[in-house]
Amino acid sequence: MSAPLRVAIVGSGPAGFYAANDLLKRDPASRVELFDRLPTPGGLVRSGVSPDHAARREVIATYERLAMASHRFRFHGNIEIGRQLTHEDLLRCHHAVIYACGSAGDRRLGIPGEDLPGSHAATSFVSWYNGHPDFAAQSFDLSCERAIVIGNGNVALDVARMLLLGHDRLHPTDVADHALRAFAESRIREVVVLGRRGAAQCAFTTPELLELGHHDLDVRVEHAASAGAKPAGRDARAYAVQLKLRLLDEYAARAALPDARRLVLRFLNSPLAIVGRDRVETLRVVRNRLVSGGRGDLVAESTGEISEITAGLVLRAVGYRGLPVVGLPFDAARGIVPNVGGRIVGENRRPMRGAYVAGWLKRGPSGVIGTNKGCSQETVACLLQDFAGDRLPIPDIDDQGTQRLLTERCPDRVDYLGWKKIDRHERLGGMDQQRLRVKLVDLQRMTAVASGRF
Amino acid sequence: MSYVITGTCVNDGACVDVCPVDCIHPTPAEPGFLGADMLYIDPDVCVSCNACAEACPVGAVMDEKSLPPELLRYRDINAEFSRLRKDS
Amino acid sequence: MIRTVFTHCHYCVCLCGVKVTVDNDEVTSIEPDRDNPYTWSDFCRKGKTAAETRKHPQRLMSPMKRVGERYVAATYEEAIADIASRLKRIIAEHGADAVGTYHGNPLGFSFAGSIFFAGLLDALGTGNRYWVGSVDQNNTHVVQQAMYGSELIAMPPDIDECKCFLLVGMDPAQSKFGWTEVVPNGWTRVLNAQAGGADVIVVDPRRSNSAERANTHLAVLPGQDWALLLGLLHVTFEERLERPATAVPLSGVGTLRSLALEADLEDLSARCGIPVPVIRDVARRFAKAPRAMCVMHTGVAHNLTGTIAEWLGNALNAVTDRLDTPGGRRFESGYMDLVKIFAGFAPPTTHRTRLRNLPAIAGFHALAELADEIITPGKGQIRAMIVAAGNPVVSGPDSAALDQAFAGLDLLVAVDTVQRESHRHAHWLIPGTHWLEREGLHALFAGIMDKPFAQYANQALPPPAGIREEWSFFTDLALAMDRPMFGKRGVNGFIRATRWLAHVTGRPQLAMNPRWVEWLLVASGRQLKYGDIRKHPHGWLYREKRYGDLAAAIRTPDKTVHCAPPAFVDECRRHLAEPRSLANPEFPLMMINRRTRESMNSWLNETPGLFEQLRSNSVEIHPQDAATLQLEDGAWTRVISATGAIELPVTISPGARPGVITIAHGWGSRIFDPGETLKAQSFGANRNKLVARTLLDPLSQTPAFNTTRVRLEPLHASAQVTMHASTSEEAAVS
Repeated sequence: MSAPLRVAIVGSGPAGFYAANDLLKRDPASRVELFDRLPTPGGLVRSGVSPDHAARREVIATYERLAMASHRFRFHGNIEIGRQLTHEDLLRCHHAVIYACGSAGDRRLGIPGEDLPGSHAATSFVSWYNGHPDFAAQSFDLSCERAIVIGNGNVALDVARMLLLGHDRLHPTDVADHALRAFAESRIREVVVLGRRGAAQCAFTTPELLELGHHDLDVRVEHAASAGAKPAGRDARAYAVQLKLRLLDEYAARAALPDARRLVLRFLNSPLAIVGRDRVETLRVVRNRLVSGGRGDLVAESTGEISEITAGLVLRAVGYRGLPVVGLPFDAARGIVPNVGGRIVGENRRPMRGAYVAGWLKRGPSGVIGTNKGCSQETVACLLQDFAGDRLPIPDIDDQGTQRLLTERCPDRVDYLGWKKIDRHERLGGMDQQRLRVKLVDLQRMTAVASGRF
Repeated sequence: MSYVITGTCVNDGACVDVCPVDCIHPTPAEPGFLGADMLYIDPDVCVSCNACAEACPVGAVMDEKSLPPELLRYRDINAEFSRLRKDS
Repeated sequence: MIRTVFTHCHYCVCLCGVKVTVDNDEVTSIEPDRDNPYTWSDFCRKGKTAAETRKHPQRLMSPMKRVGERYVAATYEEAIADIASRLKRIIAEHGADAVGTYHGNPLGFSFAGSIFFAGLLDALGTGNRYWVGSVDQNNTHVVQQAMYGSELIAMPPDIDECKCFLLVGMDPAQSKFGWTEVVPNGWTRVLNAQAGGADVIVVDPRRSNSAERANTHLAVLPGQDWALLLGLLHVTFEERLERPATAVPLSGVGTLRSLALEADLEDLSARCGIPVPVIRDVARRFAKAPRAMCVMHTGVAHNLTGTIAEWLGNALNAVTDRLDTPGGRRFESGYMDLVKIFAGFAPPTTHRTRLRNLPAIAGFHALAELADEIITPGKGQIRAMIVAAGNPVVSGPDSAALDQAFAGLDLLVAVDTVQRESHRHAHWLIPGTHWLEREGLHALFAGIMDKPFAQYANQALPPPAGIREEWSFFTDLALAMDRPMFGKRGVNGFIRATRWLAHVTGRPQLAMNPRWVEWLLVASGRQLKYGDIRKHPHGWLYREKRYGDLAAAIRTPDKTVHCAPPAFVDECRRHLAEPRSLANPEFPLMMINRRTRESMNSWLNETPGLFEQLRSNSVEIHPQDAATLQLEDGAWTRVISATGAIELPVTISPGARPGVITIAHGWGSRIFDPGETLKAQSFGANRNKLVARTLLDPLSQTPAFNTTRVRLEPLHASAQVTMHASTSEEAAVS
């Protein structure tokens, strides 16, 4: 019998954990080591999911427990692959490596003024309020009355909601301390969410839209009506669009709440330029109309009708973008690692032995948390096929050797028990203040807590 | 009585794996899964066994009797999608 | 060709009506039968995946004989000849009691199997009969015998009329309310009653799914339900909240009253861990409710005070007029008088065990005694075992001891669909059938259903070629041994004659078969016609439920319900006189058990379509205890008791009670591949290895499954430095 399958997974977000658990389940002898750049597992579940959506963060805890319960799984946090360890190092210790490190970059608008102070990527803002160590030192000026969020996905609604919820609603959550202080002093009363196309084309999901009605916000809907909006289909996507249009109608019909903070959902508007002397002052937008894109879809076309919106903060929420991984091929246009079903392929479309990819880095930043499950399962199926067909390289370092290598190269690595120390520390810290947790945002402090020195 | 999936749903599909009566749609194997905002329970088929609620990693599933007022609407949403799906 | 077959699931007592779709020789789907008027709504994945169990990759397809360390296929004729001659020799040399027998739980779901197995045991003449019921339901039989005069007077709950539910030691959100009663859709009906204003009080050390839905959850200390129930009686009597019994006369109430009033409520409160004001409040709510019931299940049965707790709960029902009254515990007479039939047909055995001199309960001895009866030499020592659809090593206490005992047997015959943990040392493996392959009317369920209901189960598919039904094997074995089936002279000759007739006429139905017994039982009741039952493929609610049958069914000599049987009163006083349990520094934690919907004890856990997430049991522990022991979610721990040790992952659960850990039973049972003896598969760990076989409830002979003291040791080092061998590899090397 051949030696048990050993797999390294890089990135401990949903795609990484789904891949780990699928491997552990489908091959009952396999061993999995899961690496993350941060001491804390979870990826975007920790640093992307909105703090007021605490229940969704639990998804990682469930899969952590499940992976650990296999007794064939290890977590190694605070290790950056490509720096402390290389792809080649991993392949000396494992039969295969699955890259599931997501899309850490953001997409830009490509309009004038995008780099003015007060204009930011929503992804940075999200990472900041979620306490991602790389973003903890950033600051966002919330002293203006109006903010604009460009984009029509869930991230756009998340940041809009976060800007408007107010300190009292955010205090019980695990929003980062520095962000909580900033939100307490925020003077923002209105957020305008701009959508290039119509209401029927928006990418945010029905639950996010429905939830806006629960927060005593004055929700305004502008230019929602769009020709040919009602899709005729009966599948889940068509249903979601129908429901969204109905919910938007309901918001539009609601009496205004003049004293409440206001959220404006403005459709059919594209940004042209961010204008200001030293910082963001106004956003110039153009009104669009929908025309047939030729493939049965509707695309936005400028009407030439230009207007300006005064705002002190502009957040672009037009998507994440994958970043290249050291040692792997990269499709810069799509922001993904080129692959076939999860097998990483080089320029000649030939698979790289033992190298796989899952999640956003595989298919681009789309879908919800659970979308990664099937994505990772597909990758794992390929990997297991390759293992069964003896198409994987044989590691030449055994398990003990692997642990020695890790100790040498990554003295500050944080294992599962270390992470749970951080977790307990954060929860206990929160308990004193009636908060869900107080996140540690400093890497040195995190590793100190993880090793029991604090 | 039926169970209801609420907006916390992350389309993990663990509920689909444990449902004894296949009343949760779209399933990961069904074509509509990738475009679904959330998953839905067909109240005409659900036997209220609680398995989905136990399996859900984010606590998105509830017995309709336990729904807080702000989530009551999901009862109609689950039912409405299920009807639409069966009509097609 | 596609066929639809209506039957009912036979895994648990929900008996869900199912619609089985069969395409030629394959089951293509199993769904709840929504045309069944009564029993489909507890349908779960056990039923849905039943065809997977039937097609088990390790399924026994013919008798297998042990040859050294291997098994070889054999014919039934070879098996029967060999087993018969070995049994005859053993009986000739050592007497009939040298043959021990074990009825497993799945056998109980086969009417034909259980009746004909009993017939075989009567043929052998052995008194050494053991059964799975002794691990969890003996207390109910002891209480029913003492209070109502028969071990078989079960009283199903009358849920739909009830206004106050006192549910002790049960988790119907998982079990669906079934145990020794059949209450289809029971938990949903409780929740419906609750929505209509009924009060639901759940007594359970852990905050189960059911407890979460209760109006009040009483997190009682494990094994102390009796103190809580005595406290409720104390308040009931002290505050004169009794209600005169309207359905049945009571006796012994005076003795019960004195016992309850003598007990100090503060002391009872300290014993059970429920504050006095809460006990008072619950007692009032229960007694003042217009209609109420107290129901106790395995949580109560699984400990050393299970009998007195079961009694006190029944007594609480009695003195508040909840017996055979609407909304209380109703007596269902069924379509035949089972109590009378059994009293007449099979007089209670007087057999006592050789070593501890204990009587049989409901006709059987306690599994806890079996290992010693096998390993202790002397006259009457058990030298052969026939295990019918059972896994006693995993189901009973101190699994290691019974496994070792089985290893020393002269003959171990296991009848089952696969070779399980308990069959490791078997000399013969005889294939069993799956319920999809059987048909018949389970007449014994008639009296434990909460509504008058009968359903004939139809066969979806025949057994695989060459596999005989269990009843047929048992009959053939008795014939081969030339010992009278059912212990009645003439039966063998009759069976041979009918078989001959069937053979010469070419009409197999003329050979004596279990349908005849079913027909006879139904006819004896003079209420229903067997043929009419068969005309209702979805099941038949054959009349309205009614009240008032209990008074006539009671078999105590004075026809009263005995509220203070002396043995129970004495045992209760003995516990009252004992000091409250002290901290045990060596074993600081108490281990309890739990139900899991997808588990049926030990025999389905490897089914591919079940346990999609964690295919294992785990140690459920309160966050506080976990923090003290530095245990993390998912990390592994060693659980150690005075009897044994196991290793499992930890689940930190805020619903746990501090000081109490929960580990589900039925796991860690290997499935062997008799064709390839090195291959074995198991998941989780067998928690009954931790339970002593000597510490028993003296009245019911039940071990302390729910009150075993343990300690935990973290396995941090192995979790992070050397990974654990996989379950399958571990099984392979042992």
